[in-house]
Amino acid sequence: MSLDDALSYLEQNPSDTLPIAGSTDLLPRIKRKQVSVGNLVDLSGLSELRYVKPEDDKIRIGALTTIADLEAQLNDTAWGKILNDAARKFGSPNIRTVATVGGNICAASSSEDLIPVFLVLDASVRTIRKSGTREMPLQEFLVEKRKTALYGDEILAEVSFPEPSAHSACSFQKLGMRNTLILALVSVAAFLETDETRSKITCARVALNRLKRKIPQRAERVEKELLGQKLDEATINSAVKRLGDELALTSDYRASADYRCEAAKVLFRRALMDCWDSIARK
Amino acid sequence: MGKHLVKFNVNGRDHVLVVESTEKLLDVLRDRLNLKGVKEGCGTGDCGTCAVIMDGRLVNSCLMLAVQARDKRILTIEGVGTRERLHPVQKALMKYNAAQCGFCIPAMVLAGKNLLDHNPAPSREEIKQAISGVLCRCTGYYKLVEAIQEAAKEIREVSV
Repeated sequence: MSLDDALSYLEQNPSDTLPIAGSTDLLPRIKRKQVSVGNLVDLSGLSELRYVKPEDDKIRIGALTTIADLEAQLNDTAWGKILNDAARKFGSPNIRTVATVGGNICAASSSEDLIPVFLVLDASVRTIRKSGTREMPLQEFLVEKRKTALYGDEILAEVSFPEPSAHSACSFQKLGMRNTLILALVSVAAFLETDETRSKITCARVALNRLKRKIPQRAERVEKELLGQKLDEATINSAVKRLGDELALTSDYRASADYRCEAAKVLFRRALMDCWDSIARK
Repeated sequence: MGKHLVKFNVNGRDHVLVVESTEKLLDVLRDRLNLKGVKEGCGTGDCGTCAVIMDGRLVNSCLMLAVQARDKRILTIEGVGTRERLHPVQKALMKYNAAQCGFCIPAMVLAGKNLLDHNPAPSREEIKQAISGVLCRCTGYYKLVEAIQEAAKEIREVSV
């Protein structure tokens, strides 16, 4: 089966067909009867959508790139390090072998570790269907929990983001009840860019697995607070305080809202300190 | 839902089967090829007892459709060692009494073997990482890590 065959099949059966790749998210949901499907289109063998390549000041990642592929990517860039780090904290080795970047994004929930990471990398997604392609910011693609902007006959083809400048750093922090095979109670991703003196923040992006809704989101008020400030302890303190004001988390059987808020602030502080440390060492 | 003709190799033998679209690899291995060393613990990817080695990588067979295994080479515990000639990981697990109820052991052996196939001199941390997707609820992991370390040593000595 080729990509074209898959898209043709989806075009003819758009309402009751789901594409699958790693199937690590979909099969448990079918088993738990959380989703019912008529037909499945297996994309897992389409190697043309499996790549990580820098091209024209952008980093392009094919939707069928596996988490193990990201784990095997060892490069010393800000984007390379955060993707590698997030991959190592993802599921378990047995899951990472088959789970894909595209599947993680399309699952569109607060358990998807790569979404906050791609949000702070300012990622866009490219979707394809028989009748053409679309490109949109990742934020726009994520409509609500378990809902993306994909049409019934469309698949996610690529996620891409601008190559971060030399004076920038990223960090991903995840808290679960243990290290492996765990969904994040809280995860925080941060991206900071400074001017050439490495002191003034010229760009800041912050994303959490949950902020106000049960889907990863950027913390835009915190980002505004950081922008133009001097990268020092006072700025970090006030940003952490501002995040506390912006958070509106809920309790469930896994953790209380209060615990999640406290943990989010601690992880956010660690993420900023980590970025500061990386920028200072460049 | 349709039926599909799939071909794959399990433990060195080629199989051609007609499978349902939604049939899981786990069920095909256990129920149709009678490979009962592949266990179903949770069936949702959380315990790893269904793990098999596919083209040199550990995968959970409960999270894979049989059709997705087409043209792959699969190794289950039935294809590792024999009673007379155990694999070094199997031998070391016995020496260290690392198995208690035994339910996770087939997957644990495969996780250990797969690591040593790629990395014959792993650190303790690398061993812990490699088996982290397979849960043991009896003994804990200390003896498992010790045993895999010893197996690594044996493999290195044999290959010199």
